[in-house]
Amino acid sequence: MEWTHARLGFDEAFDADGQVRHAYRDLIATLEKLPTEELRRREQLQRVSLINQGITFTVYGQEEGVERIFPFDFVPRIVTAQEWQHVERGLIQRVTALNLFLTDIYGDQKCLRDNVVPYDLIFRCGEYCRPLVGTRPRHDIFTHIVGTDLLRDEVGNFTVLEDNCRCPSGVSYVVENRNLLSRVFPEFFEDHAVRPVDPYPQLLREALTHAAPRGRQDPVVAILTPGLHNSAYFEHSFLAREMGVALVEGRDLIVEDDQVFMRTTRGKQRVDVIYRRIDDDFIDPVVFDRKSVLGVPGLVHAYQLGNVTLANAPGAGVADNKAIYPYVPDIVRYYLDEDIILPQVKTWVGNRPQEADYIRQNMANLVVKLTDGAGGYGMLVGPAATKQEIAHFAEIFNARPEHYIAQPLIEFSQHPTHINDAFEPRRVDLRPFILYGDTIKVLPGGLTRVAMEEGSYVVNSSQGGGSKDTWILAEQPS
Amino acid sequence: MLLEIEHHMCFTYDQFVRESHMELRIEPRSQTEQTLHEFHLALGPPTRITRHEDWMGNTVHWFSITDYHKRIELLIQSVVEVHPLPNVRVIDDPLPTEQANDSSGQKASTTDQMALYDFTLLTGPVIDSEKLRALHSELNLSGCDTLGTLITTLGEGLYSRFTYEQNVTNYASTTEDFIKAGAGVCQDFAHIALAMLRLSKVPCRYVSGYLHVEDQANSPSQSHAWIEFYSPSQGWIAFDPTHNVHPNEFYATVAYGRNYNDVPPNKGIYQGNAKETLEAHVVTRPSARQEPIRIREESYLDLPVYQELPESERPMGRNTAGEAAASQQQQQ
Repeated sequence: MEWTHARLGFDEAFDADGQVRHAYRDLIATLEKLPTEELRRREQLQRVSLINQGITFTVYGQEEGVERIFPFDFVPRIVTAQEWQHVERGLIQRVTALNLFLTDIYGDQKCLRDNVVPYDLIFRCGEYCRPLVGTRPRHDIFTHIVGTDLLRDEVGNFTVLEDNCRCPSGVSYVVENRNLLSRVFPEFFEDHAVRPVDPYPQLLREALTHAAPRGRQDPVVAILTPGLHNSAYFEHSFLAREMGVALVEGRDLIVEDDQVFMRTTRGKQRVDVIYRRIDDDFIDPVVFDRKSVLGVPGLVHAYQLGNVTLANAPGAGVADNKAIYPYVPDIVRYYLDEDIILPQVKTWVGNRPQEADYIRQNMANLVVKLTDGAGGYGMLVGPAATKQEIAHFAEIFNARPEHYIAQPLIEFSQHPTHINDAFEPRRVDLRPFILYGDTIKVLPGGLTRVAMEEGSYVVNSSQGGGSKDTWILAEQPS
Repeated sequence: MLLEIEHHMCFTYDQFVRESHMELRIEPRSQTEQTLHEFHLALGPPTRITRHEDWMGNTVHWFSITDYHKRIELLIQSVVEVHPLPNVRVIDDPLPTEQANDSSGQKASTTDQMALYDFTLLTGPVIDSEKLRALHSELNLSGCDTLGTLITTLGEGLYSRFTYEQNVTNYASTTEDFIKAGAGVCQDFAHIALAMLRLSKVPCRYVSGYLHVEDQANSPSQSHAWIEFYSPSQGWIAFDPTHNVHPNEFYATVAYGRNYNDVPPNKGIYQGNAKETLEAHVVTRPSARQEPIRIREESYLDLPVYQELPESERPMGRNTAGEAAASQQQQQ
């Protein structure tokens, strides 16, 4: 069996001397014992299973077929208990601080008066929602569900790339990838104590129930989806099914006497908590985009009166705006009086003239991103771009530099991936999911996305990325 | 000056609508330069009305009607006392320089600067463009040395260049539309004045309110819009670009915003395949009352609603399943 090691960056399975890392010994030994023919057979099994279960996503702007299979690589990504402990602490700290920040931004705005974050950045941030200033969500929790994207840098340190505080998706793949791998490669699990990920729907339900308006016994929870054509519809239906709650679209809900009701076959039923998977702009045509037909007129009004909980709270996108990201270490220090546990990527902010100049001059070496973009749209990967592409992007950048940030290209970690009967290194990131209920809990697992193409740095599913099962190992009994 | 203001709005639909949700900004503010003595809101069909303040301290009334209806009526009566303002003010603040207002990397040195920032940006229908900047230089605004001369120059420039004319622009028109048409209404004059001042780095805000006109025979009273600009030495000062005057005691302020989009008198959504017609009129008169009483109340007008679509109105064999998506209408 052929195993190619990463020549650039950190290899998750092999150390600098080419020796198998301790955590991967048993796994690689097991894989070595499987003949090529058998691996092919299992891979085929896996593909059929993905199609049958309809584990798909949608790529926007593609003519052919609306849905696609999310490519799955069977070599699991392993994180040791010790490594995870550190990540978990870092994420809990981050989510705690970001919620205090949001409470402040939609309250007294002390951090702006104290110059922790420049006020003009907030006031120009598209996610900053003026009508919601003065509205406090239940328990001051704005982000019930966060997905934070991590990379491992050249020496393997987990580094925060970005937070997703609005509608992070991908958790259904975390659960389904585990199901799939344990069916297709049951022998992998024999020698490992892998922490389970299937309690996620239960944990999510607890967090949502905890967020219900005061005094609601047995709160009714519903998931609000934009509908069948949304790229994450599979996940919306998956979570609704697993939690045993209703999956609704905007037209199923109505606001009456400042309360939200869903139309059911047995008449109207009051809804207490809405896990909404619709962006702020579309949730309520009275307050936001008036052309939206996805949302529910009056929903934000009912929320402001405290009659319904929206998870995540509208306006929470301020916390994951790329323009705010460079300030998160300061935000952590300001609210918690602690140093940030998980490091961040060095970032230049287009809003500052000197830094914009730096970005202009070094575009070929930088990753330049739109502060209000997501999913790999509207960005330039300098080192991978042609001269023409860079020149074209520079024009767009110069028109409004304050809407961009730039970061060095991180030589992030690679992981053995099964490609054409061999194991080759491919770049991976990690999106853990953090739930904020009575306490903050991090699901012991996460979505490992993998850039399936050789040398590629783009792991986004919308641009040809795949995924892996992610194992968080249980503490070894000493 | 004690002003009585009556604002009547009537929304009619040519078909029954299933649902209406509306946000109103129609209650005059109580503040240094004016006192709201009485406010009465009557609404039909009867439904729950809630009242809150928005982020600018404007009063918002909200209601939903979730049974079938064909007509919504609102009668708003206010008694406002506008305290006279000095007629002539010397506004000799030096104009803000580029550097002083450069927001990039700026430190929030004062709470004031932070509070003013929203009113320095070109947002919504106030659109930055080549044409807008061309107008700014044509009006010679860069040549002014004090805030006072800037306002005078701006007022005269706009007054001579643009014509007041109804039905040229609409509620959604932008500064671009207004420049192109060369004519419009108070909302357009306010937006263009905001645009010019913001290009000159002067913080300014949109004011929605009522204007009492004495010569009712020739021009009836109306909902009106004007602006306020910020003078570092004197605070907010009102200016009416439509008439090129500083507002007097005939101007009653209802709401402040960055532009019209923040403070339309009515904003809402209705569901149903219907065409909406809005009839609105305003009557104002000096009040004869000696002692105003302080009161705020709501009452209801007896207009009908139906739990189900009345038999006679049911469409024959129409597919109603696809109706929802197609039938949500913006209301204005």
